[in-house]
Amino acid sequence: MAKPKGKTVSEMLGMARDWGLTGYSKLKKSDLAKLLSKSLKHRSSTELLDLAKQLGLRGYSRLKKTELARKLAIQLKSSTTVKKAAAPAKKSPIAKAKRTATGSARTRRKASVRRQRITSPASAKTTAKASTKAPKIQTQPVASKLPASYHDGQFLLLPRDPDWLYCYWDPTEAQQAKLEKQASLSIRLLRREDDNFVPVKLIPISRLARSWHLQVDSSAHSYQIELGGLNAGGDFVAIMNSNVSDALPNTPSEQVTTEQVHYQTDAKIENPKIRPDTKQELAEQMHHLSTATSSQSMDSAAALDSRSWLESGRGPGSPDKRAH
Amino acid sequence: MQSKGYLALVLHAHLPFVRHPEQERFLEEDWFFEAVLECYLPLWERLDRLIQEKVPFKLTLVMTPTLMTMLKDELLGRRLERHLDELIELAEREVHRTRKDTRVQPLARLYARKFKHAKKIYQERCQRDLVGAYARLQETGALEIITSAATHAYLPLLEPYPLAVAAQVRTAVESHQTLLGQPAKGFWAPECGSFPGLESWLGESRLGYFFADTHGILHAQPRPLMGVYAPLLCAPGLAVFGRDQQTSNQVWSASEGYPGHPEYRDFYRDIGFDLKRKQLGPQFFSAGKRKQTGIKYHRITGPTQKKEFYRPALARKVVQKHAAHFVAERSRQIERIAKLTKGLGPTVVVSLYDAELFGHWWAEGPSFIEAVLRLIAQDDQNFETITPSAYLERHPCQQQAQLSASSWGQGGFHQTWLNQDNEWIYRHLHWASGEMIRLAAKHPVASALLTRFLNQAARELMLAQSSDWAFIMKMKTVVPYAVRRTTEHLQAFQSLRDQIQNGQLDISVVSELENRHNLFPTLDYRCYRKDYQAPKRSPS
Repeated sequence: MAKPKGKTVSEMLGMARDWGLTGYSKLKKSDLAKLLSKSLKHRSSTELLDLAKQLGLRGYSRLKKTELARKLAIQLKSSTTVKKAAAPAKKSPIAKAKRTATGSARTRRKASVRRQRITSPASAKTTAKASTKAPKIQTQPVASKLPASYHDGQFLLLPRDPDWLYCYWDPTEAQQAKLEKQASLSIRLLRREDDNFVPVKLIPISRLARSWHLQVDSSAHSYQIELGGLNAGGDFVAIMNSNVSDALPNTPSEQVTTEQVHYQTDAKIENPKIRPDTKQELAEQMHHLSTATSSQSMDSAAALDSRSWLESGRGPGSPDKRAH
Repeated sequence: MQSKGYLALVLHAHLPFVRHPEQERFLEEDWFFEAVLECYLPLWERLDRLIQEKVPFKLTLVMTPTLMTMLKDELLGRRLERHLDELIELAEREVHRTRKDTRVQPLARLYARKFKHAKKIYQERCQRDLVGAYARLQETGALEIITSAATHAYLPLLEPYPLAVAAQVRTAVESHQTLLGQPAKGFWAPECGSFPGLESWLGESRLGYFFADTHGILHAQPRPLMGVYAPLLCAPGLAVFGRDQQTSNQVWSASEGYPGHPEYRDFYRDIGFDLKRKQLGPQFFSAGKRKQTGIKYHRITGPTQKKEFYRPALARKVVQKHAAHFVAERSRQIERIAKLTKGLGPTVVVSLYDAELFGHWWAEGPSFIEAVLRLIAQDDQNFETITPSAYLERHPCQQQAQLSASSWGQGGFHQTWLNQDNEWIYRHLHWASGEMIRLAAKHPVASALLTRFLNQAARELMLAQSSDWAFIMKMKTVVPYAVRRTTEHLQAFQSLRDQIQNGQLDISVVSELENRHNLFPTLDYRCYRKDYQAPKRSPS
């Protein structure tokens, strides 16, 4: 069983700064712990749960907020008695980076670049389908000492690819209080149809979640999402509303035009050499040529060279195990 | 032979800002040294030779603002020369060590000559200023140097903060003009990441063209008639060119690309991993770990760990064969397209590559570029090389359409820069972008000291926005470094923002940050304002 962990002075100072406290910079560790403990009642449940996780408490998820705050206060204060030698050895990110970077980091970066850039957009679908399992709850790396929250009420929806949207939220104190009152939390996905947004999906989410990936049924739609809970009648109550986001199109437009425009003057010119009845066919043929990834006639001596390399199974982007 | 089309060859030269004055040696600065010695210098020398020999060619080179800043930096310049001296010394020791090995010694001598030659080119012909040297090539008209976002931010994921996108573009354009003395005619959207709306900021900065991935053009609205073989006009005076997949595959592809030929030099087998510690010296270790030196004696050989020795003369012959194949394929490709689109306008095949592939990864890459350009310049070709701006001058009437979102990353959209490995950065980047926009709006004018704080806050934010960090997190290469850089710049931003907000400006804080992150000396934080006016310059 893992023992509860303490916080170092610098970690406590970071917490005090993130929580917007004042007058903490010259405090001793024990006083700092007291200050933080007093402030616990003003923290959101999510923050308290995060802190409990960081401090290695067990069985905290079932506790009420006040009880959790009390346990955390005890743990924070007791951590001031932890001997220095017992604290986990901290290693600087630089040192870690250097250890990781045996060989040339840039080269391995490029290896990956090479492999990915030849992938056709069609594979986007495969990638998306492959990750249909429930998203993990993401937290930022331990090495990153950025604030856990800005409490700015941000609820942002971004397109990731034609099949997936991504969102994150950062409720204000007031929104957080409302969210905490909900028995459970959900995201409601709305799709624009004509001038209205119509609910299409209700996704139950964890209280610990702060971001989510949403699979969408079809591309070229506008979406919006809401974060909230269900009331006693089973109706969804929205507490936060996101921006509107357009999903990314992954198919060609059905409309083909023969009109041309002058680069500098913006004057429009109808191209007389294109017959309207053949434009669709031509667009199809040019699309096909544009997406052809290899030439048809690899019959030269150089092509033989390429084939011999193909047989070798050794691509320019193949990482060398020795470099890792 | 009459020209039926064009090849627009575009090399994208970029490195994130990896300058670390806080330490005497820093592993990630090696990225810069390797790229200069293996790619930017050899490429410059070959392009210069073509110009001296009056071989007609046109090439577009993207030099990102972070790369140009580092190439101009005195500290990195000194460290580059130190690195070069250490390589020369190592190569000479290698000549001595291998004196009884007739298979290896010629290769050791080759590296000793190569490093000494690089030093001579850098110090004498480039006068320790590669940006200036490339600018001189641009003056001949053969080369067109264009810019990219200030710190190579992945712009589609900044779209919710349009002024953050604008600031990246405005700062890049201003930095390019300052460092090269010429305005950039075109723009490289980092990672070919584009979205509808980007054109308004590019048009505002008077950029004439940019590039998108293939499906960004094919999925445009309305559908383009010419596929990716003609640009689209997406705003007055602004065109977008699409990436040709065939040419990309011929060089990038792991299954059919040229650089994997068995005769070419192997990248991975490096004496940094083969020799004993004493034979290398402490300068070729980083925190006790082995690293690449750049001296590699083996060729790719085949699907085996047992690599054979490199044979430079044979590799040179293969380069010529591959160059001839590449040119013949372009000729056939253009012929086929021209037949299909008879009378509709000339075809342009746009080939986009990372510059560092040529020389760094693919040792023979710069020779390949030179050979390709020489072959295309011959009279019997049915196509010629061109820059996008020259193409638009000659053929100003093009189809108008709204670009579709795309990137050249895996999957073709934003998933490489937005996934479970790196999504945590966006709440911070967006918050900081919003704060920066708010600060710029609040301070239309500022005292000298406050201006320094606001400018440095903008620099720190832009450095945190580099697409490289999210990319490294996704690829799981040097993740701690990427996390550290993202965090460090965001924390610096927050510290400056807090001081501005509280009205308690500690000059030592801003001075220290200005010294460490010294890019964009002419940056104006007002680039985050809607009413930003670019500085007026007299025509050069």
